[in-house]
Amino acid sequence: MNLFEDYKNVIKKAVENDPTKSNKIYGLSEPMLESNREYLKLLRNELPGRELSREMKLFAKGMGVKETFDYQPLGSHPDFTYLKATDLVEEHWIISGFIDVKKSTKLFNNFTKGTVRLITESIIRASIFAVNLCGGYVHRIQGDGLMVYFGGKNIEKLKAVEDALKSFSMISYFVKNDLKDFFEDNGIQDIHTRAGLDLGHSKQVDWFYSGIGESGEVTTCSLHTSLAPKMQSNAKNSGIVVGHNVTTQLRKDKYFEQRSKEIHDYEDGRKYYQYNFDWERYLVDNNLAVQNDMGVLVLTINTLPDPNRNSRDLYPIASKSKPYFNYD
Amino acid sequence: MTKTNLNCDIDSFLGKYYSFKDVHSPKPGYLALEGKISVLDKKGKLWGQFEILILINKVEYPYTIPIVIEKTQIIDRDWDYHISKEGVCCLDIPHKLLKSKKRGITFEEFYRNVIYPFFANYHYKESTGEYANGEYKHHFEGIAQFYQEEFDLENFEDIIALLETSIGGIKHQPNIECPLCGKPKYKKCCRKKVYSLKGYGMQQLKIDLVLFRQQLLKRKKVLG
Repeated sequence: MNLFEDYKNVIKKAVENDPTKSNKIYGLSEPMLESNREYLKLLRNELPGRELSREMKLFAKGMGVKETFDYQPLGSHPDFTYLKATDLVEEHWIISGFIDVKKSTKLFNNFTKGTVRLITESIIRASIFAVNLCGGYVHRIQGDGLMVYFGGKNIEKLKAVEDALKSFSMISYFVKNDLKDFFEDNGIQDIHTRAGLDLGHSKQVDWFYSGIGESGEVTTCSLHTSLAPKMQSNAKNSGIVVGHNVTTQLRKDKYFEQRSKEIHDYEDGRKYYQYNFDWERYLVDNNLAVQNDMGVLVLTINTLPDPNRNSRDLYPIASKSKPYFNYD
Repeated sequence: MTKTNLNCDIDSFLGKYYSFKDVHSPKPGYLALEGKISVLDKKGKLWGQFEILILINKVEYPYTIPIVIEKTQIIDRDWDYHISKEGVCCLDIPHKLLKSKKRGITFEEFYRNVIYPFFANYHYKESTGEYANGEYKHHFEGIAQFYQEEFDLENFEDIIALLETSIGGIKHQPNIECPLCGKPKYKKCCRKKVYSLKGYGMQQLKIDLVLFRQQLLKRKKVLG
């Protein structure tokens, strides 16, 4: 099952039809650019919107989510919208997450800005889908990155942690497994995601309205919201770094490797640590991915045989085996 | 191949294939891995899953062949599927496995090139009616087929002569007419086969020699 197939296909078509490479010597003329703009305009319609593709519906169903889920509006967590334009403050736990695509500026060296826009939009839309699929709220879009909240008043903290980890794992999977090789084949090296996630408990998080009049947003003030982007910047290529509070919720050491340097020093003898999260193992353990002969992950939500499989595609692997029987 | 550390190889495998874990071994002296194998084709389409148990001889590793047991009983315990009643999978003809054993294996490669393809091939057969690369016939006929395919020899007397030369370490002059099959130059003919045979180990060659002699005798009796 290729959950992100539609997003990948749009990126593929945009790249393949980009006029930059074939006109490197003489440069791009305005008619060429105009034709490219028209093409990209039509191609944008192929991106999944509110209507989910068949594969996305299947995946949503498998995760126990309604096939017709509504995308949450940006910037206002529904449990705290009442704070808008007030002086009220509420303490409530939340998981803050930051994820973005690194080295994406290299795209501008190879493609028109229209192509870059569509690539970025495809990744952002795929990420928004993954966040909403896992019950998260996109708070802000920042270029090719997202700031996200997981949790709220009607959800268990542990469930929200698991959802956050699943969501960010799926986005990391999309860029690492579906896009990275394709970009490398097209001369763009080392595109990858980096992500940071941390949980602030209720006594550690203030929800409030920041700004003046309409020029503001309901947001959080928390050490842990502030640490999440720092963790993101510390993450390895395609990596997710999480805070100690996340690890204590999950209580499964096999997924977390403590980094040598703390992410925060309280300057009273206490230190707050950060951990590399083994998201690939997490996806497999949670039946969201399986592995092929080489150990490469493929997202899947059920273990039923794919109805579109073809023995031609199995032959290269199967033909390595030639069985024999010698038991009595 | 130098002796490698089994624990290192297994740690590396478990660090990459997440659906496996090491478990208590039912067989003393063996390391046991249990897990799920998901058969995916080159387009990433899923064909099915099997729960398997892999047993690796701790002392002999890397000069060993892991035992693979299919636990889910998805594969019928029928010899057409190359599996024993207990679920032990017959991964390949013993000769090829012995050659790997003699050279030494790395477990991850063995998983990728032998274990995983065995299960992929099951699905291939279920889908198309035959194995992707054919199969060896059962028991002795499979051994004869192996000699025919690997050494281009059908005549049992030629095979016996080849085995006797290899087992006995008999040396022939390279430029004489081949004493085994009669072609002009021994060095361009059966000498390579004699050397190649040694890779399967003396024990297997002796077993094969006995089998071919018995079969030849049977044939002669039938022909009167």
